[in-house]
Amino acid sequence: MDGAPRFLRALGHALNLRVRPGDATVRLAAENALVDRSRELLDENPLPVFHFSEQGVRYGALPLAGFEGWPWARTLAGQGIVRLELTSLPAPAALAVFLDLAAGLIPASAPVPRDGIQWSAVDIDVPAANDDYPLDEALAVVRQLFRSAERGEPLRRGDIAAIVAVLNCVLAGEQGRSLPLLHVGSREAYQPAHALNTALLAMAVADSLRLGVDERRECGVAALLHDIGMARMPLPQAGAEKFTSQDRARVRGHPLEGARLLLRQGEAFEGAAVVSYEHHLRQDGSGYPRLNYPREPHLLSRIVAVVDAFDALLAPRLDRPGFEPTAALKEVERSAVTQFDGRIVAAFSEAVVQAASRRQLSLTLRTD
Amino acid sequence: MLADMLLALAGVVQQLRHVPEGHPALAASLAGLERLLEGLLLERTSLLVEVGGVQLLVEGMETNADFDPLRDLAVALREAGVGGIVFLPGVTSGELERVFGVVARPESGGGSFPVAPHLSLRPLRPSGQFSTDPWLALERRVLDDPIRSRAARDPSELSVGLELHPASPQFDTRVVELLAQIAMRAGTDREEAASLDALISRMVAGTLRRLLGPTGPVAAAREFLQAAAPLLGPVALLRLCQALAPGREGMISVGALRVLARLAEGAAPGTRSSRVLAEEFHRLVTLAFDGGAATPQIRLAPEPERVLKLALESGIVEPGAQAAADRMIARRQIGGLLALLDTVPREDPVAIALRSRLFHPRTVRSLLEASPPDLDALDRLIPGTGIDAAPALLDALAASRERRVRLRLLDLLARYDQSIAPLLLERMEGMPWYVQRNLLALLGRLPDLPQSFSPEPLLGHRDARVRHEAIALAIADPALRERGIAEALASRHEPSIRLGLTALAGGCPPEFYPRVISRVADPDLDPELRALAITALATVKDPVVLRVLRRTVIARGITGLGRLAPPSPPMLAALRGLATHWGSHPKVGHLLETARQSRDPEIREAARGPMRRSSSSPRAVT
Repeated sequence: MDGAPRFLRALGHALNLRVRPGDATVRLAAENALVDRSRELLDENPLPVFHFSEQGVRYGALPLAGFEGWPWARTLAGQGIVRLELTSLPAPAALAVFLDLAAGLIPASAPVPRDGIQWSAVDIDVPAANDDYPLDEALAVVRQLFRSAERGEPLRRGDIAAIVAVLNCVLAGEQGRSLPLLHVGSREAYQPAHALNTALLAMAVADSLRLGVDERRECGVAALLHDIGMARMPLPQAGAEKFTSQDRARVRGHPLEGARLLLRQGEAFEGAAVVSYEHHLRQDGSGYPRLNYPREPHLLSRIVAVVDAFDALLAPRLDRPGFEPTAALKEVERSAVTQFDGRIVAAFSEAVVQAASRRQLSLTLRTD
Repeated sequence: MLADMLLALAGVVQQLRHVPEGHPALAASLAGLERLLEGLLLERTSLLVEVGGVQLLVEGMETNADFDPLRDLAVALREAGVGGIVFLPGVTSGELERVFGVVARPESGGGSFPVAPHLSLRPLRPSGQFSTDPWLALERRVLDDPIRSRAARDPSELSVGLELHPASPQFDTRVVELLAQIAMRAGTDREEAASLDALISRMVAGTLRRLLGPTGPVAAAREFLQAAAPLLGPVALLRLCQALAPGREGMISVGALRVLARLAEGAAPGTRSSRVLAEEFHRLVTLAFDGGAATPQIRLAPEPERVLKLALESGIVEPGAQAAADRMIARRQIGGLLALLDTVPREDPVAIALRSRLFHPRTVRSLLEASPPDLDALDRLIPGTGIDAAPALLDALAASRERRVRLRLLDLLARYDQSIAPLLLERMEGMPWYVQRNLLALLGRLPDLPQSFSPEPLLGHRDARVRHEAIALAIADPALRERGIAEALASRHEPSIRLGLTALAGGCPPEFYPRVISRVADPDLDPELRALAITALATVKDPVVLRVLRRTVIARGITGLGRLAPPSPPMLAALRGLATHWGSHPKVGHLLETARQSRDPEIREAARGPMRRSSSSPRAVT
């Protein structure tokens, strides 16, 4: 209940120490205290937004008692920080740079990291990219998942469940099925967006196949994590025009790396681990990795193989432009006999065509 | 009308106990109850009767604890484990009879409540008895207002009160118990569900975490969440997610909570999205509370064998692969797992890790706990598990009621070498006779008896079967052999007598002579045992023995004088004894000659002397 004033007092204290020369240890302690207050505040309210002006501080829609005429509110507004939002627990480095900027120690135009802390000079709420569903925020969570994977940290089960919850709500939309696929510009952001798209499409296929609620959810989790091994694969050289054979060899290791990473989490992601391992295996026995125990890929893997290929076709590559959805669908259907399970391709076509016929298959370009 | 219905219900439960099925009086009572319920449910969507200690609670009213019929009904319901009854419009006398039949005769229900479309029973909850109105009780407690007479159900007042009230384990436990009671009532009352939703939505995360988190009253919290989560809207559920996600950093990130908050903000009440969202939040709350311990059984979950193939192919030794092996073991797919492990070299690191889970006492116990125990799998598992498996096998041997199983277990245990001896000895003391008997039998199969053990004290055991095994061990021990034989010959337990007589087959010391001859003379003794006694006796060079042997071989009676008796075990044993030990005696030569010319092959064989076969058949123990 008192998270907001406690946060602001900690912010004021940290800023006071910023502008006064003094002991660096004391300053660091103040920054740590501010991180703690941020955590408490986010505990209380996952969407804290402050507005600073001459008059004082507004917290959400209401003026904050006790902060009328708060000197730092005026200073912050003067520095171009009119609206301040915590989007997640701020990284200490980002917080330190923010404090420098807020205290006027660095110019407002300086490039600064904004991990967990966002501000703007305009006092309006920026509308979400998707009016109905927080797909942008979901994408940020997926990006964080990939970062965790890259660093070899445990994956948060709650985060994965939350993403699948969002996608379930998207599919249960009041206006009928909607498939808002994300399409990002930067190469680094491709994997998280691809994961989200694949999960959404896989869940739609699960519905077409009349699978149950739990199975659809499992499908979503597996598809979301199918390429998590890519997080641990080095990216091709920036500026390269084509994949080299070395790049290809490295990329072919991602199913195994993904399976290893997912099985490390225990049995919670067993299905996802199998899908990660098998999603590049093909119906005609081709694909990778090589199997010592020949077997048909699991149903989840066969579903993800189809939707993975479709979404990959939509994205531009170094050596080709992105496909239009209709052309990508045709391409997938063309490979149905040799590469994919025909039953899955049919279910996928049904899911996509249905959505497209209602003009609900949308591609939203995100440029980061 | 409510009172009439409760009385009618009490009468029906009473009759179901004492009146045979189909009795006209019972049918009339059931029809009467059905009519009363029909009337009550005309204006209600459901009717909930809750069970307190000796009272019932219907629509906020308690029944009189001193009114015997309803007191008896409450007690009967409680004893049957019923915490509440939910009647729905359309309930029939058939449903009433079936469901309350189990209340009247709990043993007929097989431990579960029957399910009927318009009638259901709720189990008693750990929070126990219901208060008159849990809202009122909650407000009195939280707002320190003991004289409050009517619940206000003001979520703001209550949420602030909860935050400001000094916390204590007793206070928190009582609050969560009351919340659980409210949640259970709210299942059939929309207004109550809305009040609960409003309260949870207004509570701050810290208070919710204190009450429902792992440091609070966990049993009552689980009860509350199970009952409340399906009733709450997205905002309240989001509050619970925030409160219960333990440590944030490990379970769910701030970013993900933010996503959920956006979803909750955008979900219009009563829409499909809102319902889906509530379901999703419900799952997240469960995940946050139990850490996903109760993961639902997914039809699409990969077979554990597939995961293990993946692990073996790629050299992955991670917890997930090991969990898959555990699942195969739990499903007792031991053969499949062993076959898979046989496909890779023994030194393969994945195979080594999986073997350590397979060849484990826990696995042995799991196989033994199966009904029936998977003895074939055990057969393959025991060599790799070693002596660590022995305690589980010995426990099963003591507990098993099936002779076939006990025999197999004894066989498995008998494969151990001397290393099992300490385990056998430490279990001997104070065990029931059948366990001691089996432990002694196992000791008897060891190459050597442990030095610290003597069967002597057990020679006087009150059970003949234990004495029997002790005798066998004593006879095998040179120091106790004579004592063992003496006990055997003195026994009335024929298998023990057999042990003693068999031990004397090679020679009967003089001190046993009187006992052996008395066995030979015992007409009630089994002929096979008499034959053994004769065999032992034949070794003694005494004229009396010769007379006994000849009398046994030669037919009696006037006409039969001088002719051989018909073959029988004693006759053949005596004949063999004469041939082996008395062949040179003048009174024997003619007799043996006659026998050798007999038409009976058994007689001819016995007259040739000692039997070719020297080993005796193994003893059977169970």
